[in-house]
Amino acid sequence: MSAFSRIYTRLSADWAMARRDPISLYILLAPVIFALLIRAFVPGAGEQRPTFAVLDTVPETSRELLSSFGELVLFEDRSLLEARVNRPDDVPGFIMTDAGLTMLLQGNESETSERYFRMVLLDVMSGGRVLGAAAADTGGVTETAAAESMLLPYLAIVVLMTTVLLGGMQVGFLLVEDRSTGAIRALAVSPLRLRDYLAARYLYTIAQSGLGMIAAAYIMLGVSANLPALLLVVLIGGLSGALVGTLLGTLADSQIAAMGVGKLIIPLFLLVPLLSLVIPASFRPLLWPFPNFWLWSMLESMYVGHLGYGFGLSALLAASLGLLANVPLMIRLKARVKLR
Amino acid sequence: MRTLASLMSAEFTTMRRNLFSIIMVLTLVLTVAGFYLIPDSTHQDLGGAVAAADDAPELEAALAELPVRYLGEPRDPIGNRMSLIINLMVFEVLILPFVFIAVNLFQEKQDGTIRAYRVTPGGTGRYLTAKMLLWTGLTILYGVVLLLCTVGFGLSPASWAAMLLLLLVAGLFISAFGLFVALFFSSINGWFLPGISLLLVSQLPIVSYLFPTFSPSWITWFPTYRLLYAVRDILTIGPAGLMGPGDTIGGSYGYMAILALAATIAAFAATKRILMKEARI
Repeated sequence: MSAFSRIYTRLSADWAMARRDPISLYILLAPVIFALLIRAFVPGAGEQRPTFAVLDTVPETSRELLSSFGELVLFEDRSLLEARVNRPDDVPGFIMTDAGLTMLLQGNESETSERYFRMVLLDVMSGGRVLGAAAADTGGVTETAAAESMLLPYLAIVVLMTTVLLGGMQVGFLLVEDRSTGAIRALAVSPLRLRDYLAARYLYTIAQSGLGMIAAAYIMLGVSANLPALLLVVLIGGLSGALVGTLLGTLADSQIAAMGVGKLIIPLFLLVPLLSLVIPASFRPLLWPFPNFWLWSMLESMYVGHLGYGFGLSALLAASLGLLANVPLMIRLKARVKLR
Repeated sequence: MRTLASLMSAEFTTMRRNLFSIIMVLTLVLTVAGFYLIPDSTHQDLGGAVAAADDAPELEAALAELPVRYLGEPRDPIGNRMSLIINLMVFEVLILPFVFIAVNLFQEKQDGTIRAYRVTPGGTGRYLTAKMLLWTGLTILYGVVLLLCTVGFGLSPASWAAMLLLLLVAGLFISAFGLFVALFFSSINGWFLPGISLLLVSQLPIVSYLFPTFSPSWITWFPTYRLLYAVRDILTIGPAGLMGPGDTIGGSYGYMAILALAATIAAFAATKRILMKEARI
C-alpha cells in the first residue's frame, strides 16, 4: 500500500467523521462569521470618524466646520453633554464660553486623540484655514487617520491567525481523542505510519481552514486579499497549526487536559505577534524565534507593510522555524502514540 | 457547609488531575516575564505616533493656548506595561472561570460524577454555589498574584479594595455565565468552537481600547468593555474613579452585579433542567 493510498484512506475516514461532528463545520464557518461581523460593525479605511458632542449654542458655522472632521451629536443641556464626554471613550465636547468656542475634555484621553481634537478646534477657530497645512507639516491628523485606516487590515490578520490556531487545535483534539479512546491502538496494527496519519490530519485541516481563511479575507478586504500570497500563507500557516496540534497531542492525555493546555497556547499564539504592535523595533528580536510571529509578519506585509521584514523573508522564516519546531515534537509524539 | 466544601474540593481535585496547576503557574510565569520584557514606554506603533513638538513650535504653542477645559484631572499617558496588565486582568484573569468551569463540567460528565451526585441530597443550589465560589475564589487569587508580581505594590489599600470587589462581582458573573453556556453541550468537542468563538468575540473591546475614538454604542454593552475601563481606572486613578465624573468603576459594579444575578438565575434553571434532569428518568 503506497503512502498516498494510506493518506487517502485516512483522509476519507476523517471526512466521514467530520460529517458527523459539528466541530469541522465550525472551523469552516467561524472565520466567515467573524469576518461578516467585523465587516458589519467595524468601519474600514476612511469610514471611521470621531464623535463630537456639541451644545446647541455653538454657532452654525462652527458646527459645519466640525462636521467635516467627525459626527456631531447635539445637546440642549450642558450636563448631558458633560455626561457624554465623561464616558470612557474619547469624545470631546464643544460649548460656548466667554472665551468663545471651548472644548471640554475628560482628562483621560489618549495623547493622539487629544492632539487631534486640539487641531480640530484650532482649525474651527481659524475658520478652517489652519488644518490642511498644519496636518501636512506635523502629521498629527494624518497619522491618526492612518492609524484608524489600519484597523480593518489588522482585524483581518487576527481573524486569519485565529483560523490557523483553531485548525491546529482541532487536530490536537482529534489526536488526543484517538489516544484516549484507544483508536490509535487499532491504527497501530494497520500499515499506517505516523507521518501518514499526521499528513492526512493536517492536509484535511489545512484544506478546511484554508477555505475559511480565503473566504474571510475576501469578505473583509475585498480584492486586496491577494489570493496567491494567501494560498502560501495557508500552506505555511499549516506548519504553525501543526505545531499547536502536535503540542496538544503530545502534552495532553485527555481532551479536558487539552483544553487546559489550549488555554496556555491560545494567548501565546496570538499575543506574541500582537506585541510587535506595541513594542519598539529594537525589542522585536525577542519575537523572532516564534514561527507565529513570522506568519503574522507575512500577513502584515501583505495588508499593512508596517513591520518592514517583507513577505519573502517572513515566509522563509515562518516555514523554516515551523519545520524546525515540529521535529522534536513529532519525535516525542511518535514515542507516545507508538505508531510506526 | 460540609457538602459545599466537599464539592469544591472534588472540583479542585479534578482540575489538578488535568494539569490545571501547572498551566496556571506557566501562564503566570510567562505573563510576568512578558510584563518585565516589554519596555514601559507609551510608544504605540498602531495608535499612530504623536508628532514631535519640535517639528512646528509655533503650532505647538497655538495648540497649547486653546480654550480647553478638563472635567477631571488630566492624566499621564498609560505605559505599555500598565496597558498589558489592564488587558490581562480582563482577558486572562477574569476569563479564567469561563473556560475551566466548562472543562470541569465535561470531566464530571465523563467520570460519571454528576450521575453519582444526583442520588445524593446535595441539590442544584449547593452544586452551583460550590462551582461559583471556587472559581470566583481562584479568579481573585490569580488576579491578586498577578498584580503582586507586577504593579500591585504601587496600589493604595483603597485601590486594592476596589479591585477585589470588581474581581468578586465579575468572577461570579463569568462563572455563572460559563456554566450556563457549557450546559448546552454534551462534550468538550461540541463546546470548543462556540465557546472559544464567544471568548474571541468578547475581546472586541480591545479595538476600542487601542482606538479610543472607536466606541460605537453596541460595543459599550459588552461586559468586557465595562471591565476594561473599570480595571484601567482602578489601576491608574484609584477608587477616585468610583465617584468621579466618568463613574466607570461604579457603573461597572452595578452592571456586573445585575449580570451576575441574571447569569446565576439562568445557570440555576439550566442546571436543574439539563444537568439534574436525568435523575428523574
